[in-house]
Amino acid sequence: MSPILRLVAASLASLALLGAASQPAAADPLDVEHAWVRLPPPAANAAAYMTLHNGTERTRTLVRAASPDCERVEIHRSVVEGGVARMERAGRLELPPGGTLAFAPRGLHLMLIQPRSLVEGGRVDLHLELEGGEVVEVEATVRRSGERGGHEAR
Amino acid sequence: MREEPTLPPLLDRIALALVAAIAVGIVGSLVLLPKRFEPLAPELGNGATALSSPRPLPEFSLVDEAGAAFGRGRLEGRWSLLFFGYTSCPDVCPGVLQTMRRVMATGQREPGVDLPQVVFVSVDPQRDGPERLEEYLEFFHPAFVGLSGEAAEIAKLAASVGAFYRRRDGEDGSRALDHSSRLFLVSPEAELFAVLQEPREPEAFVRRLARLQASREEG
Repeated sequence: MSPILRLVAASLASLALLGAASQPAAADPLDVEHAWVRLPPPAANAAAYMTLHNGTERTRTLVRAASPDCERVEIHRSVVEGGVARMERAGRLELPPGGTLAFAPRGLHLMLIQPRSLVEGGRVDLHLELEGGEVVEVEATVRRSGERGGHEAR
Repeated sequence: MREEPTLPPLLDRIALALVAAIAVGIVGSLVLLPKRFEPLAPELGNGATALSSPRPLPEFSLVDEAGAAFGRGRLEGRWSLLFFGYTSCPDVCPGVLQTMRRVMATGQREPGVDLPQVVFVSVDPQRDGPERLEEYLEFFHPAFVGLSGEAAEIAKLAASVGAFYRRRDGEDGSRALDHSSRLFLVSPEAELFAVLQEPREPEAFVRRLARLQASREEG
């Protein structure tokens, strides 16, 4: 093989590898992006936010969440309507194929009850349990706030 | 250039008449509508509603995060922003307080605004005593004031500004409170001056405050 041919072959091979790496791993039932936990005040509950995407061919249903970093996790939704904020349990959350679900401030969130002491920049492990028994492992970063470009992310 | 013949064709005349009618309609509604729909509290845009006549707050008797008495007198002589919430609220309250922390930092650099004292009034005073409020608010800003006390006194203060809250106990022992998400701007005369939507962008919120304060000086 000429050096040029070898170079071309190597480039093609690495391109193929890159392509494979950028594909979601086939085993992941849900893709998780931008997972973060708002750094809570001392002795307060925390909230975790993220975006879930179902890149698979069938509906996935989030039924429960847990974390080794807190006592208990509940799936909640804040509703701000007519100048009043209220919180409700979200129950089961369905993601159809191709569907996206955003957990964001003033909306869906995972409420982390009695978290261990968290520090800014630290990590929280979350387990999202899907109907059928699959578990999605999420690593969330602890941040003071979710602002992007100076705005509080919503 | 030479003038064209004076009488336009019929269609043009109809079009002209229509345009004139629409113009009269627009001008008319601009003149008449504000009177007809003059709101009690004119919207200043961007989520601030100023009261047409500021409403004096009643005497009330609460306790601040240091355990000191906090009544109407502590609202006199400076601007205040009241927010009603509770410390176990995981999403909305920390979001508002975090943004208010940034409002304070932004306001430092803005000469046109007289930064108010931020007063967090607990709607869950059974669990949020002064010590809890001190620890909680210190995390956001050392100058934030936290009020707790008798349920009836909190209810009185809330009612006087039109703040809403309601406790909901779950069957499993959980507790959540619905509460106003807005902020209540109190003037240095201890009068409710404006109701503001909770801040999202610190810069916009500081500008809104400055505009409201300027409107008081003009008025």
